Amino acid sequence: MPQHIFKYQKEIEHLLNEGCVLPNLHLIDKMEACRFASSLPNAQNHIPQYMTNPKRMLSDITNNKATTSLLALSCFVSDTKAEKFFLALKKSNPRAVQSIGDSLSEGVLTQSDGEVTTPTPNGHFDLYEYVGCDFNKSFKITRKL
Amino acid sequence: MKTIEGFQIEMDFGKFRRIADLIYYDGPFLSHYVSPKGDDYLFYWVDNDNTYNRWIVTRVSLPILQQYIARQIPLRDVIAHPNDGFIYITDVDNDLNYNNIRLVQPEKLPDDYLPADDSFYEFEPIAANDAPEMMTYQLTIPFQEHNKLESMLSHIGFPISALKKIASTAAVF
Repeated sequence: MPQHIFKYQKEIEHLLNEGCVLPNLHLIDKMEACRFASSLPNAQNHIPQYMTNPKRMLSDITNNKATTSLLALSCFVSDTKAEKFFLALKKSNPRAVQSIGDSLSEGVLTQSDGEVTTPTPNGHFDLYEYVGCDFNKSFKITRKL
Repeated sequence: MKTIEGFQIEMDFGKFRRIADLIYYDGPFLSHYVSPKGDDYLFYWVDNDNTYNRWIVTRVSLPILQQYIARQIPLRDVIAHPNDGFIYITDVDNDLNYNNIRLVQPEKLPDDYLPADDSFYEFEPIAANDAPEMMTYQLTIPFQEHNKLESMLSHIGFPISALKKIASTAAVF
């Protein structure tokens, strides 16, 4: 079985060296998943916040407070749970759409895509991508939210 | 980003300790922090451009925070009617420097910087790795009693961090 490495292995190792820890991760068998994406042409979708500029984060690695989850992609186990979350987020943060996108993208995750955290009751989980995982190819925007 | 009127001040938000992310997707939208003095604050994301992410920072009492998490009050009440009568706004750059810190009256905020009227909590808190014991969100005593209990304990010299844990779990007879 090929040894997979994380897409952002260098950044993850840097955070681990600064005292952060990876959460418990699980291999994927095959699972349907959703993420939010922007329907605008040339939108930069599916990039972890840690790799964007400016990062939407507050904690500082020099204070050992950064979390590795900012190198993961937030996903949901179903479109229903994703849409429920989106509507709640819009009520709480009306401008969040400009950060996370206005549409639902859906696809199927396989073992070669990465490793995941255990989904929370609201259906959210983090995906730590392997090298080669590309949601822009494997996920499709299915509807505007 | 929009221009917001306010008074420029110096605050060292970098020394605040993260307790939990209350709303999270690909990164925080609402986070609970504690200042070095033990006061609770909420950091609430509102806007961004190519250089900054803009956050509203507001001091919040533990009873108010617990009411919000317990879905008794909407987030709009917490942000638009802060106990202090003012909030802070800061623009955080990619190096996580807190720039342009201003003291702002909530009435000066554009309406789309505020949560909706029915912005009740529909999420799950994610505790920071080193602070799960500080996540005292459970309403275990009536919120009206919190202030009386906190005042009493504070009067006899209890430290605020221990006070918060006791105030949230002690029974009131």
